[in-house]
Amino acid sequence: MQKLNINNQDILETIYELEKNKGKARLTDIALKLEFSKSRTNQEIKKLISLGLVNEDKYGPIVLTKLGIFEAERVMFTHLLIKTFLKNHLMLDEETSEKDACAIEHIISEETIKAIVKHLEANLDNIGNFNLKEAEEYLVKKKRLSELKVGQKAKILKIEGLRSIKKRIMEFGIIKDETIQLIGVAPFGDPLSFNLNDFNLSLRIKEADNVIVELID
Amino acid sequence: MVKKEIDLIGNPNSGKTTIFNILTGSNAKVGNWPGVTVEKKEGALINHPDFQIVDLPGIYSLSAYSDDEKVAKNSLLKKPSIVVDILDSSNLKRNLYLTLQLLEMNQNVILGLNIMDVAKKKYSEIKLDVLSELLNVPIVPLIGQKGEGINNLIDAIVEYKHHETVEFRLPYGGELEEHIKKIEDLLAEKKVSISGYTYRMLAIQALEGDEIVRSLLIPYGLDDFIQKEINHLKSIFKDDLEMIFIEKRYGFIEGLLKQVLIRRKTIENSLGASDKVDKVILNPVLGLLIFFGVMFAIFQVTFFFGDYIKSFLELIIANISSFIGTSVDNKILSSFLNDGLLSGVGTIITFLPNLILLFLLLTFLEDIGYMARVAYLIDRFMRFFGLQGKAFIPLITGFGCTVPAVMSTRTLESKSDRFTTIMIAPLISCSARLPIYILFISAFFPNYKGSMLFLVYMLGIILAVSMAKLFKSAFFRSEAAPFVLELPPYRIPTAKATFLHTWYRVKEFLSRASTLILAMVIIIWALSILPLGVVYGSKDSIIGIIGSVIAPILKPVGFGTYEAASALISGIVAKEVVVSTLSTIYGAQGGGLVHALATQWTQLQGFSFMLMSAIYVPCLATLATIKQETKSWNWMFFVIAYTSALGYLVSFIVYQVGSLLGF
Repeated sequence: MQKLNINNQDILETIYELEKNKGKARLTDIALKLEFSKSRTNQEIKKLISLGLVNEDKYGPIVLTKLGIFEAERVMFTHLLIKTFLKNHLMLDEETSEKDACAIEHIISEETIKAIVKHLEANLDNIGNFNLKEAEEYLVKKKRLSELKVGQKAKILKIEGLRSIKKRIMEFGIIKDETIQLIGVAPFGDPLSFNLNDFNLSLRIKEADNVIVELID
Repeated sequence: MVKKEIDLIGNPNSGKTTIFNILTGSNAKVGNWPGVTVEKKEGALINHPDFQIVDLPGIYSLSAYSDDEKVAKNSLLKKPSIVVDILDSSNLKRNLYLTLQLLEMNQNVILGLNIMDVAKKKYSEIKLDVLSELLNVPIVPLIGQKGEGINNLIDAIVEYKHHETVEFRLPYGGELEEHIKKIEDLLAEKKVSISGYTYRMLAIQALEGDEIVRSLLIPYGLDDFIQKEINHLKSIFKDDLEMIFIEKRYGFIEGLLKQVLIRRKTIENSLGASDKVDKVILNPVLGLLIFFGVMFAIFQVTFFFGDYIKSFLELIIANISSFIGTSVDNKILSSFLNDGLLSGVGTIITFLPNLILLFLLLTFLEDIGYMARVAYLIDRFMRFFGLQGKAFIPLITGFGCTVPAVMSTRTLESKSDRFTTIMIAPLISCSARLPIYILFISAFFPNYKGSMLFLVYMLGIILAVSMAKLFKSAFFRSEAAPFVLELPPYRIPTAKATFLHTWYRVKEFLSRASTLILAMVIIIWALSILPLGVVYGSKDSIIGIIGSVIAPILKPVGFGTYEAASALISGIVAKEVVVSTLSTIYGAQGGGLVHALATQWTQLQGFSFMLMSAIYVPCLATLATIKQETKSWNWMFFVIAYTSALGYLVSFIVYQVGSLLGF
């Protein structure tokens, strides 16, 4: 996957929250919340559109795509985990917890997430709308197909993205519940080669981005 | 006698072509499907001339996105007598998807389960009788490479009983089935009749959002109703309906295979061989090295052996030519035979051996499964220039000849990739341009032969990729075509199959290009000898007059002489004619011509001319092919315009800068 940078993730998070709290996300609100200029926000949004994470109707609100929701929830969930940990266990105040969580969420490793979840599970079931029991599945196991490491196997959960591309790859046999394995990466890091059922195929990262999978141990 | 049409269909890599070759005894006619440039092969069934086998393009589904799929779908809609569907038995799940679509089209299907030898290593049992019963179709097991089972397939075709077949109805279950039924009933009620379609087909494809079917139903006033149905079902399934249909079909296949296949617990080692080879071939570092090695080898073999055969053929022609010279008295007739006819044949022969060898090697690599790997390895690199991995093959072919290069862009699914590749293909130096380079390098850079040749070729490549980037962003910005590429298991093709595939390609090339080249060479001959009485190709001949008119335009690029201009004009016929024209004009050949150029031109002029001849207007055969493949005069004229401009620009810069620097 084309790695999302801190700004991308922050914007996704903001849109997600605005959609949840206000019902819709407008450019001005996003800019205001992140203290970005309007034109900069616009540029950032354009990038997210090109990544297939948000849609924008002309003069309408900015809407997360299904992939956008997937990415936003990952960041949100991680954010809440860290913040809760800082606040409840390290006894930091609200403001510091919030601020540090904002910074840590972008670089935290899967191992640390697992450790925090284990720690929190002792006293908590839910944080925000998220169930802690689902944390590991959501943050560690659930990935985009493009995020697999060579040799990893995964179960296909969902195919998103543009209709024509989606149809093409589904007709090829990339459908729900199938097992797929990443077997190699081409020179310069793209495309990727996979094993699916009884054959091997190659997809570009851009297409593999649209497939959400769950790691199989 | 009305022939019964048998359509042969199957996934790519299912071994369909081999089966086709055996079924028709390799007497196929190669042509095009009307309206598109998808190759059409057909031939009579061996020993049963009343059956005509039509080879449909290898496709994965009948979605009608690409030209290949459209061709297949249209052919099927005309309801052939029988459809023979060839499947790779070792990869049944994906192969059966197309089969289901065929059955849903209510076709008379025979399944040829090919590559049974590999399948038997994977599965301890394949219950063909069960599969046959469940799908209600005859099944013939095949090993195409060894010709096993072919006679049974022929019998199945000949003895096929067109009884009132029960319509195949894939059960979609629940809500979906209910609504399909509802639309079916409505179609029956409205007495809808569209040839080739059953009610169920119409209902399903309408729900899937197939635009053709939707538009067919508009006259019956059903479109609003169908849109409502789609919206309703969409809200239930929370997804586009076509995706639901795809999932349901695969679900059905899964169910079938559970009853049909018993997988071996331990799979034989030989199966993993392909993956093991891929560990090396597709390795990011080693794979690239091997790739460069293979390409280098292709060039070496093509040009080394090709030139060897070529010089042999040229010797024969020279002998015939001198025989004509001594035995034919009539001067015009003798000139026509020698300068027109024989030099035309000679022109074709100068690159035919190279081309056949190149085709042979490329076909072999394709049949073995390597070309798909090349597309995979090189895809990211090609994308720097706005192209994709598969575009590499046409460009490689372009080193042999631009005509087949343009033709082989057909493998590119997206129009933007295809057209961009066609536009830049002429910039890759074809083998016909080599004689020009050799002449000028021998005359002006005798001490730097190798590096100068490399430089010209590299210039072509660099210009090609830069132009690709430019055209792609200028003309075709917004198209997103998915890159889904199968990496088939390696298979060793039989020698016969490889030769046969090569022969089809050569045949197609010859029928297309050679007559044209011959005709054009004769026209140039006529222009050189008219008006009657002038010295052949001299300043007073028609070609000389045209040359003199154009010459002043070429002054800023360094060679504003009628000799150079005439040579360039005649080079549009076929590139190596540049050399023969110069040799006519200077009345010298071989070493004599080298000497004449070296003494009458400056080094800078020679260099500038060589670059111009590498870039400017492609030969007529290429132009004709571009017209045919793009179905548009505009693109052809565009190629003429931009290559002339680019050639002029490059030569201009080289000559002017060179002059300033005092060369």
